[in-house]
Amino acid sequence: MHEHRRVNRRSFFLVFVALIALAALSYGLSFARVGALSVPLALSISAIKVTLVAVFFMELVAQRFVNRFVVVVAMGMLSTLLALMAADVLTRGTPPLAPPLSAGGP
Amino acid sequence: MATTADLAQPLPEPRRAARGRSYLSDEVTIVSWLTTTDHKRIGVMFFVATTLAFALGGFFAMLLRLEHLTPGPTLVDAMTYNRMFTLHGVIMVFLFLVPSIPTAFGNFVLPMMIGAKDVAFPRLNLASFYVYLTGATLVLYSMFANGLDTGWTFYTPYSAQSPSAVVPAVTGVFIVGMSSILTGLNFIVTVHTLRSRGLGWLKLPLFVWAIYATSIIQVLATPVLGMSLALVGLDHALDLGIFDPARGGDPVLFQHLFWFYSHPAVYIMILPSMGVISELVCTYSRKNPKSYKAIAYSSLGIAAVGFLTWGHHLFVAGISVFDAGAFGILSMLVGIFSAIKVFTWIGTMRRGSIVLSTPMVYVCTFLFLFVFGGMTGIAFATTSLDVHWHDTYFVVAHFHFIMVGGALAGWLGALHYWWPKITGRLYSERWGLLASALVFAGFVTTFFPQFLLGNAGMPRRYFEYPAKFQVLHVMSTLGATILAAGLLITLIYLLASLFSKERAGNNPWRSAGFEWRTSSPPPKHNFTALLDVSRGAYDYTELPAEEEAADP
Amino acid sequence: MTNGTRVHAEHFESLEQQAHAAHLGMWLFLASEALLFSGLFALYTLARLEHPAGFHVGLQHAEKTIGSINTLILLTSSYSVASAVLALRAGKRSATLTLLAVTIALGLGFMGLKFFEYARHFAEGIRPGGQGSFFAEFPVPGVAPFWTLYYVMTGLHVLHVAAGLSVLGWMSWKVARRTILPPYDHPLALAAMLWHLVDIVWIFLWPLFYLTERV
Repeated sequence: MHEHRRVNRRSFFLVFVALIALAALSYGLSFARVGALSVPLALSISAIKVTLVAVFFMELVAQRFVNRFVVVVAMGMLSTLLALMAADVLTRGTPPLAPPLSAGGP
Repeated sequence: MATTADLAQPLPEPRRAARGRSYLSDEVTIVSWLTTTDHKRIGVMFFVATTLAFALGGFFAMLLRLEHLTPGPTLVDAMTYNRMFTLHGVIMVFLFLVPSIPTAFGNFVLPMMIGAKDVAFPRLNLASFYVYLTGATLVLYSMFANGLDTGWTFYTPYSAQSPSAVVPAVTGVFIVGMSSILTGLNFIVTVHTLRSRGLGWLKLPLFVWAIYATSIIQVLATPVLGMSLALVGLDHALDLGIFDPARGGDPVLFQHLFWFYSHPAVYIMILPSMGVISELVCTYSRKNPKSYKAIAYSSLGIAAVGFLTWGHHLFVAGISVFDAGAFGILSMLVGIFSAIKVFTWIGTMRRGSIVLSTPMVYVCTFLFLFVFGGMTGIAFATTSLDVHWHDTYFVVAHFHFIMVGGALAGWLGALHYWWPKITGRLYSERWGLLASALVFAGFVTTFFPQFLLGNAGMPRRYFEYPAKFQVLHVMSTLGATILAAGLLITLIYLLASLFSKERAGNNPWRSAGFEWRTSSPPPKHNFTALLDVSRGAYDYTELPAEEEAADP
Repeated sequence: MTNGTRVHAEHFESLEQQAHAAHLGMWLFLASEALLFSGLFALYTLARLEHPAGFHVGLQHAEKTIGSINTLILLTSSYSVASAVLALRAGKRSATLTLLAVTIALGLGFMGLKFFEYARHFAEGIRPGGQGSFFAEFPVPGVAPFWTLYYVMTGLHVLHVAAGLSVLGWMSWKVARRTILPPYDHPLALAAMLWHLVDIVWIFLWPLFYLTERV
């Protein structure tokens, strides 16, 4: 488990550089006019960063299958919770709240 | 932790006729019990704690039933009644049904069933016991402080506003949930890493599969309950208004989060019982399972699909028609796995050599009552039927058929089956049969009328009711009394057996199970010789000799 | 269970088996932690879908600079703690302790900035539960859930930061006293995993509460 070719000082340094670069990218994108894409883009970059941390810093790459399976199942549960809750809220068909007259509004 | 060197030291002789060292006689001080890391002792301590919780929950149940003897106020007022049914639910679900079989019997026999000396994390095991006690104490505190009247389901907005002791109660349940997560984590790692050499997954006793599947649910679902209750607590204490529509919140979202755990929780409560039934059916039919894989894999199936069904508790809460439809279909799917199990058990009993002893009576109780409870569950999955039955006594009857008729029957079966393993004594079979008959008769008399009440429109959690329902209510209360008598008699003859001089022998049921291949009660490190797994846990082709020699 | 003739716990066959069990146990615990946060992420998602305007108003008033500095702090601390695990395995005790000290210092810096940020919000009239003058000034539906979820999620996160720092401090103590050293070094790897969880959660919190306003 310890002597895995991908788990060493050099690869950790490269991962760190990638993480900072991706963070800079998210920060830069936050000023750009990407409209509705801003959340999916930002979360996709987050997902890549998290994968790098889990696979390298947390050494999933060097560990047994069952550990990776635990991660996959947890992600699956999270998605299930979100998907079926969203399926409720998004298909209710109730009209949105009218904005209050005093504020600027959407 | 004891080392090999310590075992060589002479130990004090037990008071009764010495029969070699066991986990009970190894060290007898209270401190040795309170600081033990032996999974067997921890199992016994959990058993005592959870059984006390069961007694308390049962006490509330009796008060509720006595209150319902008359349509109007009988013993208490409405506010007290609300507090009683809430505490009955909270205590029964969180302090008894969820932990009981895994922490008591799972702890005791699971390591033996895989040929291990202990669980993967013995100190964590002890910690989870103290965490349970801490949470339970907080729940008891809330009982005395101002009670709790939100129902065990803590629905918002009332739970955020109720003048009762919501914050200590949800904190207590949160903490008990942590204990549940730690236990589940421990068992999963134990099964993955401590199996005896040559004991592959498909040779494991079926009880292990059941506990394994239960543990997965415990680890993944309980945190979501923790969060939903934490939000209620914060809302109550700090007026956060997370679920307050006036502040942009949605109370139905609480229900989504709560039931995301609480539906899989019912599988946490029933799967271990099903595991017990698998063991009992094979031992008392003296046969191997009709299809080992069907039972093993269906346990995983229940765990997986059970996560997809929670919305059926929200059918009338205001969720969208689309979501309701999706959950209705998913809820029906989960019944398939239970049906697979029931038919496999029956197939196992067929052409077996049935021994109708007390545990087998509980098997029959389970099969009969679980099937009824389960079928009404499938009926509930039909949204159009649920609209009429939701929040009536029909639902109360449905889940009591499963939880008492199913889960409790499994617990009682486990208690009787493993009693000689744990204590080295045998109870009186005659009293056992009588008590189990009373339990069955009492149960049916209590809860079958409740199906009729619910179908006729009697709402649940109502303090008063129209006079036309009184006959059924009185019948139900009469049944509860008989059920209570059966359980009390059970307690008495089990305790009495502890004082008997007669020893049970290592394997009184002549079971082929792994845990029976060591002495009863077992030595501190479970096995004195390496477990021979070449003979399977359900191999009845060569019946074990009357007294299996265990200690040299 | 320390260095000596018997390195592994009695009920395990080998240290490798014990280390594997410990890692699996820690992944399961982290899975439960992920599920703990998942309800909150679900509430955020659904509230944002319902009230995009209010969330926009909230994001406009987020302390973007503080949040971003905190992100850099946590990413760096993940790197330093991962490096500490490598250093311990290579037998470099003082390098391990230095890297752990760096991690802890960064973590404390994060907490300091966080509480400074909370103080600034309170001064602006942004309190949990939609209470405070800010909400009278911006009565847009969705502003209150944004800030309440901000406090709950970052609050829960900062509790985990504190817990992670305590565990790292305890591990530093054990490394210093040589009760954790190769080959019995997996406890440090486990503690590092807890710290990486803290980083992972923040990697998602940062865009949701600081970066994704509609420009």
